[in-house]
Amino acid sequence: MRVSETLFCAGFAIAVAAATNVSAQSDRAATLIMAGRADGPTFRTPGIANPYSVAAEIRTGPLQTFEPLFFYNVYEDKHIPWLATGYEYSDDFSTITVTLREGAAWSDGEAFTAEDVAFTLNLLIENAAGAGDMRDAADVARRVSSASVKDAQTVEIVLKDPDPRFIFTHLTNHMAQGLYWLPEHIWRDVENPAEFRNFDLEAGLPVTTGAWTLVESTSAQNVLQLREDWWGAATGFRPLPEVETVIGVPFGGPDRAAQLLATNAIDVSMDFQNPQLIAQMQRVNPNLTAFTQTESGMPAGSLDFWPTSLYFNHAKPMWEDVRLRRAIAQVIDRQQAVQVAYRGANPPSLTPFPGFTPLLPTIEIAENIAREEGLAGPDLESSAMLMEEMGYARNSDGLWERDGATVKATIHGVPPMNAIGPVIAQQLRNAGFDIDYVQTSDSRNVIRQGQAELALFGHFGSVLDPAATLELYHCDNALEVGRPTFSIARWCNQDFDAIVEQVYDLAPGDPKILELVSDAMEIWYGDVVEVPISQWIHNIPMNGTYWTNWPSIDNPYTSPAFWYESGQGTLLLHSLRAAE
Amino acid sequence: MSPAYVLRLVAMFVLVVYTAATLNFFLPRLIGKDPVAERIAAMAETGGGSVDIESLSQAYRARLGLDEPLWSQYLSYLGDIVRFDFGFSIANYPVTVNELIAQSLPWTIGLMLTATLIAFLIGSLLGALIVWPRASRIFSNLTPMIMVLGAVPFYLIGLLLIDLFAFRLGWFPIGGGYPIGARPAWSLDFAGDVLHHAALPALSIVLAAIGVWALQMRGMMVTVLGEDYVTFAEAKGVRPKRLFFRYGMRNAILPQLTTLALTFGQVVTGAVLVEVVFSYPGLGTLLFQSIGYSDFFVIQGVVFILVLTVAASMLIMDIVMPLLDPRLRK
Repeated sequence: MRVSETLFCAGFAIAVAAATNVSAQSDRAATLIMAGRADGPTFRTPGIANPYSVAAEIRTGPLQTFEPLFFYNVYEDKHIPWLATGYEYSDDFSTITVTLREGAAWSDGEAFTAEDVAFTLNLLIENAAGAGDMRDAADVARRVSSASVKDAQTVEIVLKDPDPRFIFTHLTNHMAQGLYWLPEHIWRDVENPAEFRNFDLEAGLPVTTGAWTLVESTSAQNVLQLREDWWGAATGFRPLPEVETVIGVPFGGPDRAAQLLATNAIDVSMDFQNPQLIAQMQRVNPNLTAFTQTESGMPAGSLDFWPTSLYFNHAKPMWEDVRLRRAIAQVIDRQQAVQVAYRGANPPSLTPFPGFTPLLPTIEIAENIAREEGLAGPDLESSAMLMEEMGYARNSDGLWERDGATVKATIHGVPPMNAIGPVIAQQLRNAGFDIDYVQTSDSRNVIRQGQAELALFGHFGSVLDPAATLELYHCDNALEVGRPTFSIARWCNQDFDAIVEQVYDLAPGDPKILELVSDAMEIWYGDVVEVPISQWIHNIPMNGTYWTNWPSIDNPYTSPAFWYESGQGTLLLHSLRAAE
Repeated sequence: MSPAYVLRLVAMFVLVVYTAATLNFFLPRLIGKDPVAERIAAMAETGGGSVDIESLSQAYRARLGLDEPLWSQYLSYLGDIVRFDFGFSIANYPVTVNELIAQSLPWTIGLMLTATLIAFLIGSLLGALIVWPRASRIFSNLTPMIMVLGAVPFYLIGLLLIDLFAFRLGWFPIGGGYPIGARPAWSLDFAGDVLHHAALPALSIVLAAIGVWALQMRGMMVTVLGEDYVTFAEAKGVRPKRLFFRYGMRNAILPQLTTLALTFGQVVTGAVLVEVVFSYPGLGTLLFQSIGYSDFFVIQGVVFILVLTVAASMLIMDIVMPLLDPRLRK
């Protein structure tokens, strides 16, 4: 074949492909396409629908086919019974009796019963005692003694220690928390539940209770298809959703996602740190919306339970002197930092608590203490006085120096901190501290292992009551350097621990908790454990071209962060309406 | 070519592969990281605190054999690579390394190999025509453009192509291996989708690589044109087309073939940036991500394939070259 003929055929093939491409999008109006979490341009763990596998990606796609006992919407402080209708604690909070919803059923027609809930909990407990390779197994085994069936709709969960919060932290799915229920009639014969992929279309797997079923899982996409026989519609619990097909594709980075959103190839993506990028995208595609707006009209997102801080690593001797920590804390200008980094979209924060409504009383107490301690910042004069008191003097470079040494440290951060990290570092340098900011592929590990002198990071924790955040600072979490921990500060104070333990003995909402919070935060701020910087906001662009009724500040029925591992993206899928 | 010569080549091949495989085992481990703990910790961050990092890490270290003594891991590794069984991916457990490679390899071969071959053929032809006295002046005028293209990296050309043809004109997709919503299948439709998605990445590779091949070929063609046998053939009245292909290109292209063999081995590493720019699901991206995760087993698997490919290419070249060039026959 001659060259010219070859070129003609290739061109023709491409033209055919383009025409074919159009036909592949013909049911777009009934399809929701989400660009979700993936570590690269492809999913690396397709074909895994096991919620207790360590293959993390399934939690941002196939997991939306699973349903929880309860959901919680923090924006409306609303508990949403789903597979369960209610629960009751024993007087001493050591036993929970959960009542399941009648009519709930698995996708293969079998009834969802107490047997499934008890089986799942006992499977995790058993795994923790043996191989220990199922996600959440160790945590459940630490808290739950056993689970048993009282009748088809009633399950009794016996806790190892009284825990008035277990129903919320483990059985009410919200943000990144909550358990998933496995069909006992499928999983009882599984030999290796950690490795079981739970995906076999011919065998009808995965079997779930959700309104959608997983019909395809490849490295390029996960596809969920609506089930007309979903139990929720059959029982009148909720109407059948309008979203018929859900396609999850890899986020691939903000550049790619921005292009896909601008061209209506996708409907929603993971968040963008820079709200200005969303504003630019809105100029190209006016159908893009955000959760809310700042006063200056910049798109702004929904609040997350991951407020960020500048952490001192208390395991490093350089931070032994509280005056040094205080001097650094008093330099930070949060308002300036969030304005430069986020165009004001992330509110500054004086506390380690996320700004959800149920936590506002806690935040008010903490903020007052912060102000009394002189940590509401910036106060460069006080900072300088402290440094001079410690024997530092400014050298010719304007840096604080004592015995020939400056206060030299590196702030390690993760990619979401790259906007604010350099700003914080520059504020510190301007005030005389020899501090820089880095973010490398190793930074996350350096932070977790306790090798960073300073870290910019967030912390999950409280959503409904202050206990979870306080627990992060318990001495049990202040592991020695080299052992990974969620307590980046590695700070330990026995008096603080005693207060936290008292908080945990009280049920959420007990008025005594706020008194204890005040005592705890006096110690916390007095010791300048860390420097809270800002709340964390998910700036998520939502595309109104094909779908409407996206969550917003005026209609906050859920967070648009559909990838949360609680599976609360399901609430989003149920609520979207087709655009006209 | 004697059997002893071939045996010597094969022995060298085995030695090269063994040495590279050994380095491939030890080098990632010299970093001193614990990839299991890192991965579990990263997973735990998104789990709201319900993941016990230490106990899970311990369980998976044992499961993956990483708690064994290094010499024991090395011996297991040697046995595994002979069977092409690279075990589980640390970062993507329970997916196996072979599955990850199987997912990624067709895309890389399809894109990079094809584009490299196209660039080689067009570039070599162009390079030869640039210096061929009887060729049109158009070809010699192409030299500056080719030099510019040769200096521009793949990914920059790729970004420009995306902006112009995908974003502004909408003629091609922005990225990916096939359209969102399309179902992979052995069909003309799907093949067309794949071709459509491969067009821009392939074009960026061809445009960037064509210059290099052309300039190399140009240099070698200049040398060949000065040879006595070419002058003699021309004087004898050999037809121009035959002179160009059989006397000119055939002799000038021999060093190019050696370079091509080496290039095949670099196809994977060269693909990384292109695949990242175009969100193409290939082996380069897999290797890049695995290095970031210190996923020893995936690194071992991909690099082993790379080494094997290069070594096998060189072995084949060493066997084939004497057949092409009688001067090399012993």
